[in-house]
Amino acid sequence: MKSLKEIALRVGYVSLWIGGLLAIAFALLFYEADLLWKVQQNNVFLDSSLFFKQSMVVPGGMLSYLGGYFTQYFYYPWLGTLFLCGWWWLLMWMVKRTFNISNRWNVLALIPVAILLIANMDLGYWVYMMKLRGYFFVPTIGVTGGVAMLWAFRKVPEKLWMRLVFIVLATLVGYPLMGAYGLAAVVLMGMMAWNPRLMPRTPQQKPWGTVLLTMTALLCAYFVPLFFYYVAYYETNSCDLYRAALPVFAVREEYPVFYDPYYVLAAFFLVMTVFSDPSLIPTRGEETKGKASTSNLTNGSAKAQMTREEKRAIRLGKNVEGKGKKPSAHTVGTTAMRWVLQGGLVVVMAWCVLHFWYKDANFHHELRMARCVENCDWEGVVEEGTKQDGEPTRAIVMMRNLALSRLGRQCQEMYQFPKGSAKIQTDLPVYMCTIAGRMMLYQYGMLNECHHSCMEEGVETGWSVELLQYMARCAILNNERQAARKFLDLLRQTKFYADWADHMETLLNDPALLAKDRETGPISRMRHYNNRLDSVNGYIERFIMFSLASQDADDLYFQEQAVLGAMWTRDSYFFWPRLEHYMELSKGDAPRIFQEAAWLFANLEGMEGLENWELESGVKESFEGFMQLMEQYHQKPSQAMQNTLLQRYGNTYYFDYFFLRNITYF
Amino acid sequence: MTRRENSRAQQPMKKLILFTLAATLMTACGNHIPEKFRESDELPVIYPDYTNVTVPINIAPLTFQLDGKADDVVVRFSVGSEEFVYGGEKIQPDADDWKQMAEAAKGKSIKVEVYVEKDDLWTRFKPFDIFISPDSIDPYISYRLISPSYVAYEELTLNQRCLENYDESVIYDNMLCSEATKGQCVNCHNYQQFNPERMQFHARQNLGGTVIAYDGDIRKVNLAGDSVLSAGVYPTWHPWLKLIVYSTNLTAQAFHSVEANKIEVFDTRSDLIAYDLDKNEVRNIENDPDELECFPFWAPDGKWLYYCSAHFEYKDTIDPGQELMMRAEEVKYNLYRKSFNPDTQQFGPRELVFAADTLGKSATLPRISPDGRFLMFTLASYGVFHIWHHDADLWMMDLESEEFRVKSEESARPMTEINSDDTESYHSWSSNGRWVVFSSRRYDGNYTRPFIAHIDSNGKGSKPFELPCEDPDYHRQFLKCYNIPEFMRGPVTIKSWQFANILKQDPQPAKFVSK
Repeated sequence: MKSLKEIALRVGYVSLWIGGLLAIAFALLFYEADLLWKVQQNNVFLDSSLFFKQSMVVPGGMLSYLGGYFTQYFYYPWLGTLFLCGWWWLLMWMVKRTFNISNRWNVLALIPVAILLIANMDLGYWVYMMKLRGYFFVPTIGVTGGVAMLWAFRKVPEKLWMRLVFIVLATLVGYPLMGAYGLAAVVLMGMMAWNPRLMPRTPQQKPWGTVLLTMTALLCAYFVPLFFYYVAYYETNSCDLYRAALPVFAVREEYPVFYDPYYVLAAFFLVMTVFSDPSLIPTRGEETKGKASTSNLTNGSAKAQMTREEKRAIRLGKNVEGKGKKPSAHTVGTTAMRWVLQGGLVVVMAWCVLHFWYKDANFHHELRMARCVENCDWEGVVEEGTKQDGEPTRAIVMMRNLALSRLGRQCQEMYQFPKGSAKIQTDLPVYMCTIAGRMMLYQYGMLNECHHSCMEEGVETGWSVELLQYMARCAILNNERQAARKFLDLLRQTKFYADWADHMETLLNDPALLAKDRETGPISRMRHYNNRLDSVNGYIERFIMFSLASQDADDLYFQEQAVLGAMWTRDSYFFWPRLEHYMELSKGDAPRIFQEAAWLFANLEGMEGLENWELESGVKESFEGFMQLMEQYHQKPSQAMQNTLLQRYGNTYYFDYFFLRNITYF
Repeated sequence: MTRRENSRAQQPMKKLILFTLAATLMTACGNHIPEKFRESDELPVIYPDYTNVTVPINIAPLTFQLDGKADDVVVRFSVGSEEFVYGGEKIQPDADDWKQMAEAAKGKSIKVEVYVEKDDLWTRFKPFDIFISPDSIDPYISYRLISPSYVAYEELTLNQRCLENYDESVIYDNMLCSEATKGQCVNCHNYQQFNPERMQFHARQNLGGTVIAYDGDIRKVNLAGDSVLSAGVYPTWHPWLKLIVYSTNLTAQAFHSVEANKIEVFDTRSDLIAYDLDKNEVRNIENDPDELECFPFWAPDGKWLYYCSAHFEYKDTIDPGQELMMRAEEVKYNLYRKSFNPDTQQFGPRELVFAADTLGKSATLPRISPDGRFLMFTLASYGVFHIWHHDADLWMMDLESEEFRVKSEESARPMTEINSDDTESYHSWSSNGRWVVFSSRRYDGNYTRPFIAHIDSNGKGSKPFELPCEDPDYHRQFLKCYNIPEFMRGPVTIKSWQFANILKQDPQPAKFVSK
């Protein structure tokens, strides 16, 4: 029976893992819940044989299949995080077992977890364009599987031929299932053969046996992928054979920096494989024991003579020889040094994780808002908008305006939020259309364009829940019943979207309900566009605004958007007819910003009879004040003056007209 | 009487053990025709719709499922005194049973009775027939699998499928030559007289060129040059000469913002060229700048080249692409043919075959039956790329009829027996001329599926049937289109990596000759 001390010691050692995983889970759930939700939105896992077969047509397909399976649980971020941490726990346990890490050096097992965490959290905007399905889990499962292969290799009976056979079989199985991770494990097997502490040589084994093991591993890692290329896989370019199941960090160009965590991970395991000592950095007492053990371990029979207690002692890193003795000052010093070293490692890991974690504020605002839009939580979008400190991206501005329009407050409040067009903080070719393009097209009732965007995206980066949802939505609103049914049936094969599909099917079957639904109702009111042959070409905001600016409808909700679209164009050619029709529908009432726009255009065009215009109090006065200041600076005020104008007139159309007309619409 | 039980619920691998247990249990329980049921006068609504279809004797078993919710389904197939009973969510006849049934029903029909249980109440729907034609069908078809996308493409495959079973394999996958930042497109596979040893297809963008395989010789050629409009696009092999005629096209596309058609694909210019394989020479056949020639097709006698062409004169006030986009509905293609002397390899002047524009329509994709008698084509209100036009239908002309000789337009008729309310477009005759495989979007308007119809000696079609799949729900789940279905006498045996190896080489440039 284990003593209380021993149990406490063990718990103490594991507490590092528990603490680490708790800290990670806390960070993920409290700071990245929206990202995790988005990760599953951009993922899909279908419970069908077709999906399985389609996943398996590439080497490493099983990893992607499993990755996709676990990613779907981020629908509830806590659940997905639980699974992720579960995998990491398993990985740490496997690492500890495989490399014989003593309990007191458990911290080493945290290193691959930290690297894998960085590999996920440094991705940022890749969430919108990653092609590898289940990428949030794939490296974790792949590394765990690879380490498990190494562990199994160590457990192969100490016969050379059995080890050789194992290497061949491991490659034949590992490569199709795990791609590059399987190959990496095989290569490490070849390296591990040189580490007698991990792979005791048989008494008969000669050095050439070790060479043979290494050569076999390397040859298998090289030839087995080629073998599969010629006989099994028809979809993998020969130049991609050796990086199968790794994410592809390339869009129009390559972004090799994102592979860095993978290189570090590979280096970590290489070091562990080649240099690992079962009694890592032993204490003085253990040093003697460790040396004895080490020398004995090269002799299979000697190893067999070790008692069970001795083996456990080594695992626990206990000072067997010094048992019961009072620790010397030197031992205490070494222990302290060990704790310092471990503490240092933890600090370095934490710093690296924090440093490489993608923390851009706009990125997170966008994710939060997109999630709120998906749930028709319009107040949530606006609330997120109030948290905006710096310059917003256009995606943020558009989502905020959309929410305000749904709440019926756009004309009153849209100029009260931060303005601008912040450049998206990434080197990737990410634009507003990438982040919220299809959402906006859908919400503004441009269903063909939304369908088009989804189809292109589905082809380019693979199908996802989000794309299937939008395809279904567009088909429903276009009354393409069979197409809608196709996408809804696919969503029914997912774990968490069957209810959504059922709800949407009721809308499909009941036009009255469709027109009243909180999501589809307003969109139904936006469907007044005339057909034209055109193309968005990625300029979503411009496309939507010009489409609106060119169209009248007898629906006040739409017409308000048409006037706002015309104001966005800053072109009176569009503005006057839209406003005129709006005034007819609203029986003469116009929001203040419409009056400001009318007054501005009328003045710029030098219209006559302006003195007879009856406008809301302050419209004319603020225009006068604004223009006077502008005149002072010959229409080109300094940045400081712009800030002053922003403070005084930022909530007017005047400021918007002059200062946002030349911004870049990323 | 033979009584078999079947439970064929498709389960993912991870549920293999459960599946095996369940299958064992269900087999033990068996499928039985219910003793009590109510009769319905209606045909069962099944997917795919195989009610009263005509199928070839050598087709793979037709699998189907009830299109709606049910607690249980039992189906009885009967031919004479033989009966086969299947049950479960998906009705998947065993291959041996099916072969036995088809042989017994040759020239007759298999009677199918569908019993459906809902709320403990069984209903027997009106039985339907599956007619077994003694006319066999070519054992293979090939097609391109492509997402119905517009600009982007990722994975495209040329596949072949055995019609006698469900075996499908990849002839070539573009990913074999695609790189992360350099994609490759493949299209327009074509065979000489259904011969899988003589085929061609194009690769575009990365490592592009035309791959031609001829009796074991595989080469990659570049048909583009200063004297031709573009590289070859839509091909047609001469029936026996080593000569391929192509259209050359400058293609553009635009998107309908509201219309159900969604996309418009059009040629701003197009011509016809001929490529001589032996001499590696290419020459223009038709290159009138006011004519948009497209979709050439050799008559089986090798003496006529059919194609379609639209007369379109640019006003030259704006960019041609913009102008054609604005005037897209004015583009109406007629069917023409040119005589050809196989000995001198010279073409004669063009002759009008079908003036679709007089009907206010546009005709494309002329295809002549192997006996040379029938001309099947696609007709829609305008344009050339009819797969995106929901009004596109298949039409047929009898080239030996009196009407054709007097006034060809009157010899054409819509194939109402095989058309649907949605798109019908690309079509291909079987080698014996008794079957036609064609593209249709009748089920969901987006995804093209191959349908096969029997054509009798008078050119009359039977109700078409969708390409049968092992899992009847497969096409509903599948998110790609079947593009350019073509019959083959056997499978292509060249491996996909062999094609990739050829594509990774530099293309052989074709010489342009002016004659």
